[in-house]
Amino acid sequence: MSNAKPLVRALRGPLLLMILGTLFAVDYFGPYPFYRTWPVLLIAYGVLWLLERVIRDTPAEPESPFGGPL
Amino acid sequence: MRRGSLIGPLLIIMVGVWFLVSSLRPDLPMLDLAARFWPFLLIGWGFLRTIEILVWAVRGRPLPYAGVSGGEWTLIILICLIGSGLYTVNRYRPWRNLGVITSNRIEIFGHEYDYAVEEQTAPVPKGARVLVENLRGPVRVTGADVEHVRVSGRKTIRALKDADAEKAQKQTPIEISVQANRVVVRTNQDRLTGDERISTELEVTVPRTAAVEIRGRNGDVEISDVAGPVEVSSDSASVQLQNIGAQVRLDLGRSNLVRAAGIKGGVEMKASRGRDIELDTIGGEVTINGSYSGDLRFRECARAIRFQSGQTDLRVEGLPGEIRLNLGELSGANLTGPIRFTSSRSRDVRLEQFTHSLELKLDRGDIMLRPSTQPLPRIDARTRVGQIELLLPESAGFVLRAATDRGDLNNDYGPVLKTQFENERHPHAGGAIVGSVGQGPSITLSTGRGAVTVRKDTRAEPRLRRPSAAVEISTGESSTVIEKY
Repeated sequence: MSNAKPLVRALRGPLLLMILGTLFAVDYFGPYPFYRTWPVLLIAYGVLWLLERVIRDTPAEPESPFGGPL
Repeated sequence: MRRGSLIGPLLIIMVGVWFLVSSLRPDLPMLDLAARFWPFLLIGWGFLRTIEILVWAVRGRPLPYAGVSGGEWTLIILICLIGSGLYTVNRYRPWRNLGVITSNRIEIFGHEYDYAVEEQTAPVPKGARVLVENLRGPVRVTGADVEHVRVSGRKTIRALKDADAEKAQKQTPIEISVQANRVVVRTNQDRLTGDERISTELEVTVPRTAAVEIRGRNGDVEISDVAGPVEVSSDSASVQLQNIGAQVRLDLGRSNLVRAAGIKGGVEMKASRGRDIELDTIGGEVTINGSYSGDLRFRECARAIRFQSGQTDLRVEGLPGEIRLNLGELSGANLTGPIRFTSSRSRDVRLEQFTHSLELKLDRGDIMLRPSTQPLPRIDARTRVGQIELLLPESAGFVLRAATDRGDLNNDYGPVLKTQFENERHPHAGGAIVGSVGQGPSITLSTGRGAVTVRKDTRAEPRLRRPSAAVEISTGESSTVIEKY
């Protein structure tokens, strides 16, 4: 469980990058323009940050999203 | 790039492959592909990095503090900027509106070649239907006391070489074909096989009794002195019509100006991106749909006018006088009702001398009404935000209720009308001016925010203002009219 927090933190960038790419793709090929969907980035960033905090506060929580130690 | 990451090398390989393919296969739209599909590069990048981090975590290798480093984010932002820039340019092609097509080498390096179109005539029966098909270039049709169709004009070809221009000229002969009472004038620009650009300016004389139809993609149209119905369809054209004896139908894309004067029939018009409209002396019904950004003027229309765009709806049953409508204002004098006007954009309304009834619904805008005709029309005028001013003739009878939710109430009509405040201590907090004089129609005015003023119209009957002289200054793109009253 000890490396779950750095893992979440390390995954934050790549996940946000994927979301960014998806939002642009939705703008070009889907129904929603980027200027409408950009807050999703903020929400995702907040969620990932929160996740990181939650893991630090309850380090022994076995129900973490990553299902225990890797 | 992160040490030990595969993304750096993969990116370099992708960039190399892209450049290689675009230089080996110039026919492939590589720039277009890059402009549309670059977001997937980000998705792929993020996905690969996620996998990498998970693999590192499983193998127990030390994880980076941030999965995507500051330098990488800089590169990503750069990619986003360039990518969206490419996409925008690719999709909207802003230079198209500037009239310069930089993507075509003929436009840059080509020369213009002019050819006179040899005059052709073909006899046609009376009451024939003349169809002119000219993709690019202006067309002028004039009716005359003749029994044939006469076509002349000029062809302008833009090409890289003399030989190309000559070939294009031969490929696009102007033809007149007559089948029964149907006459087709064709410029055959679609037969062009090269990338030369051609524009044909046509001058067509038809028998006065003919019906005229013009189809094109780009080029102004002028038609005059024709007794039959007229139909114009074009993606981009200004249209000028004069002295037409029957129904007029216009189906346009872009249009800077539509001017029609002396039409005995009705006018039915649609433009997806129109600007100015001037209609003068129209005998039939006028129906206009579409979206217009300029000045719309209607004058002396004998029958009903129906105007409908995304945010505006205007109906007038008859127009001995004049109406002007633009993005910010509706003004008119001498109108025959019932009149209905609804606008969901901000517009001021100023109407004088109207009959029967008026129904006015504004989202935002001031209203000035002067129903100086007798008997008074029934009026129902509402605006969400804006002042309302009503001038009533001295001798008229009516039942009035003029209310505001927040704003002053000014009763300058006289003590016959009572002012009722919502709250006596706060006279600005709204209320209504109510009262009735003799027998008459009901007048209801209401505004959500703004002053309401009711006054006596002591001035003499206003006469329809018509200019005693007018000068028009035209610069091709736009025109301004200066009128002297």
